[in-house]
Amino acid sequence: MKDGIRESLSAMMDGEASELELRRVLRSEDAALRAEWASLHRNQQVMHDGELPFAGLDISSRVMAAIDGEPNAVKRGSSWRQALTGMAVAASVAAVVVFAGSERMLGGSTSVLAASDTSVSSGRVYPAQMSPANGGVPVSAIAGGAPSMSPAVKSEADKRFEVLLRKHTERASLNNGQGFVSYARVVSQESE
Amino acid sequence: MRCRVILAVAALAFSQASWAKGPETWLKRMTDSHRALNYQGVVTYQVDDRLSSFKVSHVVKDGREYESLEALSHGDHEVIRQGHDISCVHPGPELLHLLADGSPEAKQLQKLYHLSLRESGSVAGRAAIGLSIQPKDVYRLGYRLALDKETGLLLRSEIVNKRGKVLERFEYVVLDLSFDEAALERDESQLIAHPPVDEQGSVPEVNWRLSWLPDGFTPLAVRDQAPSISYTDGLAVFTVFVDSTQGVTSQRDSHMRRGASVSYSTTHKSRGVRVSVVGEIPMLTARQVALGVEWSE
Repeated sequence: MKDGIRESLSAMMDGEASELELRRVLRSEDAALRAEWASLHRNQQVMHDGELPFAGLDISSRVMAAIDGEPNAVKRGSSWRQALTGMAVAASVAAVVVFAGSERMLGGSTSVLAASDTSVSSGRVYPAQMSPANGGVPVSAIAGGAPSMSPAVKSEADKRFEVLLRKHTERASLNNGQGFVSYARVVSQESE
Repeated sequence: MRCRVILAVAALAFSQASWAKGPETWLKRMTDSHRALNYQGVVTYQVDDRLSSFKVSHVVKDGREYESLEALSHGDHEVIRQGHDISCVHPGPELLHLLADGSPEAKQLQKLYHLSLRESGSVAGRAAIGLSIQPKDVYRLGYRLALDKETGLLLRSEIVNKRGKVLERFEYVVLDLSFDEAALERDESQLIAHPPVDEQGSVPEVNWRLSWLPDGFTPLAVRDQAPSISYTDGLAVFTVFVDSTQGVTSQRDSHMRRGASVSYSTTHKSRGVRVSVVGEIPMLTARQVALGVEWSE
């Protein structure tokens, strides 16, 4: 997989990819890349019972068709929002494409948890607040929307992150060349 | 005294510092100076618009390090580490030493990062030199560092992603390099004891292996034999944890981020374990490593 495409994929995970990059990833003829893309989606599609709907489905061609407004995918003349939503409903694919809100995903100012059981795992597509010809719209491959995670689960995940980060920092501070100051990552976490 | 001999050697090395030296030499100085010098200062840690400040103290006494990090904002947390043998060189710094010495092994690091020096203003009232470290692939993060021209001590550190976004920033705002070891005397009963980490260890034995590891990362020999393995390329470090799922409510993949630190967790139901990768790396790297764990039994 080329590093440029891989970088786009990485940026999508961090909620920093542009719409043009999403297109580039989706257009790729690289099977491994599409598999990765599908995997990223499946990661967000796990239902509450842990089942994987349409586990082997490569949705990239459908999403691209929808974006390009091809008649065999969606009704011609429909808006992007209609196209994407229509595609999703017709295909009943639990695909999630988020075209906004990158900062609330992984780039937030505090610990952010984005697990698979978000409220958008019900076969819906969220083409929120995008402008069709704008290449600068942040795109995330990770499901956004309001997390449906219960406070108990989130608390457990926060606590676990804190414990693992502390253990990791014990070793990292001896090996990252920066030293003991690395513990600020842990202490500031505890202080929140 | 042993510590004085070591400090004298360190001081000599620093005094011979030449501007003609390349970024590799500055990296070596950085990784040595924070352990060899006595200092106390106030350092800020910033993630987005959140700023925390800490008092950092470090002294070397009888060949051993005593260091503390005390939160000045957000409560009264403090972390202490004491008894770390100054002569103990860990794998990460060793990689940077090899780089500075021009060792063939060090060429690996040069394959991974672009290193360059640049002018930098003063930090905490001290003249600084800038060191830019740009990754050549997407599997690690970049660094923008400011080092003390006199000693090589790290004065400011920014970790940036491939898009140039600053994920976290450490910066000294006050630094006293004349800090005396006597100043660290205190009521030890109040200290949070940290196990000494000195002797060389080994890579923990585990029943799993990674089917994929980014170029240049090697497993760390550690003294604590916790069933987790940490990997470093000399600058970035990540740790792979494999724990029981007992007590874990959610069985789904999840990821967390704070500043430059991320974690990615995935559950292997059939084995009843949860794999978590934690480190200062891109989320995609953490995920790829976590999903690549294979079982050897």
